[in-house]
Amino acid sequence: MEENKEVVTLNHNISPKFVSTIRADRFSRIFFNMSVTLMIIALFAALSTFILPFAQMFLVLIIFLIIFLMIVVTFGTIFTLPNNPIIPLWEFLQKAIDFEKVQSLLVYIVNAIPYICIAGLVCSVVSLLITVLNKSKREVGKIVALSIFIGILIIAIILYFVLGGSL
Amino acid sequence: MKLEIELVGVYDKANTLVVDEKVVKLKKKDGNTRYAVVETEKSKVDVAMYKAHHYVGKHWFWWQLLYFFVSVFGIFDIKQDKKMLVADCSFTVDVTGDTKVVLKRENFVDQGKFLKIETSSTIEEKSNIQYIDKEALKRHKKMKKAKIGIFAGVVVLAILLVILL
Repeated sequence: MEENKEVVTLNHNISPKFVSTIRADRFSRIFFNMSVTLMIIALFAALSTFILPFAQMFLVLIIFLIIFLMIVVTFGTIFTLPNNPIIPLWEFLQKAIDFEKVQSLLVYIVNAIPYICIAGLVCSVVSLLITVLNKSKREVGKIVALSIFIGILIIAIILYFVLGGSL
Repeated sequence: MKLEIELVGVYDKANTLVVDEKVVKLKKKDGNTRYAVVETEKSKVDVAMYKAHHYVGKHWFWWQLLYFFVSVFGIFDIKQDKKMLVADCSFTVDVTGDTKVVLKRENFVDQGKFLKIETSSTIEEKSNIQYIDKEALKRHKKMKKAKIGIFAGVVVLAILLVILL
């Protein structure tokens, strides 16, 4: 490879062990960010099943997020598609603001709770494993936070199945 | 024996203190001063302070690509230093009883000194430099182009899927 010569001079004093530490740290932080996001989504989804204002807020936020991500990821080309998904989403958003129709829309979100929880649990476990195995860098705060996340998510999944839910 | 390391100057989270190949967390003392106390049995201890970027190693491109995909197109990725500053200061210090080493941050000068080391003990300096890694800047630009290419590929694929379905 053309880089071989340059690699020798690039960060030449930094040990391979340190490089693997920064790589592991980055992966751990990526999975931590994912688990936090999934936790928040799962929490809002769970709260929205019995607190209606939460449901409205949650739906509006999620739909705004989905629309925003769609526009960013496709560089706006989504508007040129013949079956533009922004239009039904926008209608969905208007329904979400309509107080009475929130309940029917919630079914979709509530059905996704176990999947969100499982995905969050996987991310938390991966992040925790990387953090614990990275012996050259001890991050007690992160380990405690991830253990709490895992506990909450396991309880949430167990509760879901105990209350009669299924995948 | 105790080795106390004090860092004076603007603290950057990306700076990592490594003592005998182990990352040591710096605690806040006051204002711009951070410190760490290391217990050791050795009479000579290797101390290093790094600021590194992620464009290192032979397979940097594949690692960056992996981060990109794992973090869902970079959405969950961490913020990176785009200036690609690299700093590297490593030295060996003789530890006799309780030893204190004060590291003072120098102002940034490309290819200039990174830290000013003050101690009453004997030190053997191995390296002490800070610079803008031009190779990493090139790699960063290359990676940006690759990411845009992947994005464009995904968009084309999505459009094709929508049209076909």
